[in-house]
Amino acid sequence: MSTSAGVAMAGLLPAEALRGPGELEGWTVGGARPEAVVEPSSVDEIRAVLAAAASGGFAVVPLGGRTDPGPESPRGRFVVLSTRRLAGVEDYQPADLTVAASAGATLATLGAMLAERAQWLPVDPPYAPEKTLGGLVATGSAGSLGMAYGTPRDHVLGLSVVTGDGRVLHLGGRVMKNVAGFDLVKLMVGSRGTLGIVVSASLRLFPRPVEDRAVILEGDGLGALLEAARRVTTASVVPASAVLLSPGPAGVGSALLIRVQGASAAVEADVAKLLGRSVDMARSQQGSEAQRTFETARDHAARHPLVLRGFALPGLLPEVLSAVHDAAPVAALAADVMSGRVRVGVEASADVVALERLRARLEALGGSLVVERGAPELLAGFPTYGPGGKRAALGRALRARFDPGGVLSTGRFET
Amino acid sequence: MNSLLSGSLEQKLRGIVGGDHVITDPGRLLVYESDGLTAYRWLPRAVVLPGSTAEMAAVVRLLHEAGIPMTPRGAGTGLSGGALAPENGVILGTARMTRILSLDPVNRVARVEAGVVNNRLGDALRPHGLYYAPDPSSQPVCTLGGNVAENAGGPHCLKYGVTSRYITGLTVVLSDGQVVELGGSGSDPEGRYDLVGLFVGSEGCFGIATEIEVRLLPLPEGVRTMLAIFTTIEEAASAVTAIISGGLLPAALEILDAATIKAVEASVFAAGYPKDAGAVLVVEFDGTDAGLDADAERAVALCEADGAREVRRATTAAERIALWKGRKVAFGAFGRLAPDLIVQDATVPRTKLTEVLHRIGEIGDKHGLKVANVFHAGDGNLHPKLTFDRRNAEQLARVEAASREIMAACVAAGGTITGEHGVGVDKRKYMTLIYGPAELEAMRDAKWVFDPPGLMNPGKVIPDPEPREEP
Repeated sequence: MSTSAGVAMAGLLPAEALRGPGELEGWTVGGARPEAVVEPSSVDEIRAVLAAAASGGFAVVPLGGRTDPGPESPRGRFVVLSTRRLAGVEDYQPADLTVAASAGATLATLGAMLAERAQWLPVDPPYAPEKTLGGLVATGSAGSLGMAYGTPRDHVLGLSVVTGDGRVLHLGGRVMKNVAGFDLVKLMVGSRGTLGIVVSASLRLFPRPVEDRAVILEGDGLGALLEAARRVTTASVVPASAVLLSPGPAGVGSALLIRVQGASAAVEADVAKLLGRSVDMARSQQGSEAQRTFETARDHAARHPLVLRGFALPGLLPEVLSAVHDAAPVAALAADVMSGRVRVGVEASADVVALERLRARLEALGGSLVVERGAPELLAGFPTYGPGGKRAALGRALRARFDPGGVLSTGRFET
Repeated sequence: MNSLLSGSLEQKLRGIVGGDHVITDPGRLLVYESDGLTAYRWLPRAVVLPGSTAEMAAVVRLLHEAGIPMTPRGAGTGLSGGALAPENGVILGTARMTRILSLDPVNRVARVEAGVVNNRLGDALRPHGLYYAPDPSSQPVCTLGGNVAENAGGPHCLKYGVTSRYITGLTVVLSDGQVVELGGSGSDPEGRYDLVGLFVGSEGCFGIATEIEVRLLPLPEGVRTMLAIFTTIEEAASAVTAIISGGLLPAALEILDAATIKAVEASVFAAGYPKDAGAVLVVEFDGTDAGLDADAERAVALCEADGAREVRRATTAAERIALWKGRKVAFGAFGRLAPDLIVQDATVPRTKLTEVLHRIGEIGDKHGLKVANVFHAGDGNLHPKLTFDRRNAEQLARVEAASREIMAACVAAGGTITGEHGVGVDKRKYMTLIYGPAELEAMRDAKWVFDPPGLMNPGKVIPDPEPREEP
């Protein structure tokens, strides 16, 4: 029998970088239990782990705050590489609107520091405060603020990564505009730990808006709200975000939550343009009350046993929602009406045939279906991502260059 | 003179694109000898102008079989020598691919062929109350295909970001003639690798984009433009930092230095700037009308606090154009001062602007060269301009030496060697200032995936594996 990964790691890393065998609960990936959880604190330790994995025949799955680990089970034996001990803020330059920090820094920690200087990083993926900077880069998720502010692919100015074969790359930089060489930063953002392990990142920041208002339109059915949503997406102003929630924030019915930011006078004018005549039916929230609503919306539909992410052009939202409702007993739903991304939480396990039918319907609309969370038994019959065609072939070739040994995050992006 | 292509290949190419659209006549090829950076002149073997993606793919397949290197080219306005054909290479021009394929105001996306001129898309969008945000200075003539290849910037990137933020899909032809769709309508931006983002800015080295899907924005309701006049450039740079630190997010923050002001005012493009000013700062806000006056007032107060001796404000569209005029003509105004002009391009952290400008001044003095500066101050993107006469070899050598020192100074301040003009052929020699062998090897890896035989725009961007000092 080959040496256990845990034993191999024990010889390589200091004791504090190794979680005991009793501490592995909570670190399962796609239902599979790792042989060890390692917490390196340096590039050298990360490289040692990768080298040991390559020679020992096991995979390495990097994890940060575990808010979005993906549903795929790694193929075969694996260890989890937690970035928790890579946690420092390296360089915050408020006058440059940039910050550089290590991968394990949480967005809560960063956010608190930025708030002191009236700045922020405008991203709101589910469970954002627990998310780490490395996780944000790896998933590339912006949440509902992406259309107004851009996504991590726009915010990340530079990255240090260790590739699957142990190369240390310092990509991009700390300046706002940079076209020196091919944009490998974009390749790394959203690559979900399949090309390299993010060690640190520098990001572009934004001034915090003076006013941050929640405007809520409620309804029993989706029809009237979809009409309001269409008005919002085609208005002459772009809100910070607009999300259709079912059930609504109060736990019943449905609601359209519009986030409007800026100077107070501008917010007032924007709300009028976004809502038109429905403005009298809407209620507004500000301050901490509004922030709580945004948090509820941010995490909506993200922790059900089965979480699906549908995507199509925003104008097709009615068709997408009807396809979703035909396919599964929807427990909760959050539709980003600006981008066309729909997150669906399902309580019961869904049947593969229904999911295949849903994917086919969304693809017929030019869209796609991704599984964000789901039981391994289900995913055995239903791949997380749909067919990728020629671009998937390019993706595989890129992966073979950056992780030639096939060590990183096996089981992911493999269909 | 005989054509540089073999007779049968030329005949086949003409068969695909039509007889008139293969250029082999040396006189006509001269047009393609250089781009916006005239210091480099390479004559292509031929120029082929396909009229569609299918024609492009067929042309590329033929050239691939013959092992002939190819260079994509749009309007040829690039400033880094990126659109020049390598030795024995053929230029793939997009001049005939000028259709706006679809315009979807509801979903705010448009699909265009690569040869569509940036401003022409803007004209088509205006009736729908929409626009395409990236606005490089060459906007009246540059193509969207070129914008994609260079990841073009422009004055309004400060608030809106660069080209890559607005490209949602690409149809690309790879070096073997394969047509691949990257991204595109309705594809999940978080699904799998961001190949669109990787392709944008690849300077024609990964393949040629033939169709481009762009994201559109509603035209801002209001605009406020101001021109602040300072006695010194330090004051102007300090005002920029004060505006950004004060939580304002202008659509543009542009500085012209004293040398540029003098050149503009002495030219036929005179914009009415005071000739004795040390610097002028253009500040622009856009968005919902109701919030703009308050933002503008704050910016004016911050400029005055930093020593602005006058702040002019535009109240009409004509006045706004007048305030921008000097900025827009800044490059052309140097035409009367010297036969040749190098517009350098580098980005530094915004708070290092003053320090770096001083250093650039010293470098110019040391080499006996006049350096003028126009820059996107809000995002630290500098454009030092060096005037010279390329027929004077000794002067040209001094320009080369000064350029390298300017790049090194920007890198030493935490910056980079190009913010928006690209590496092309001109800046390959500077790549080792910012990247080590591992990063350059990783970039070669990425290129290999898209272009295994290395036929797409070889000799650009990445230095050869063993970097040698270029003269």
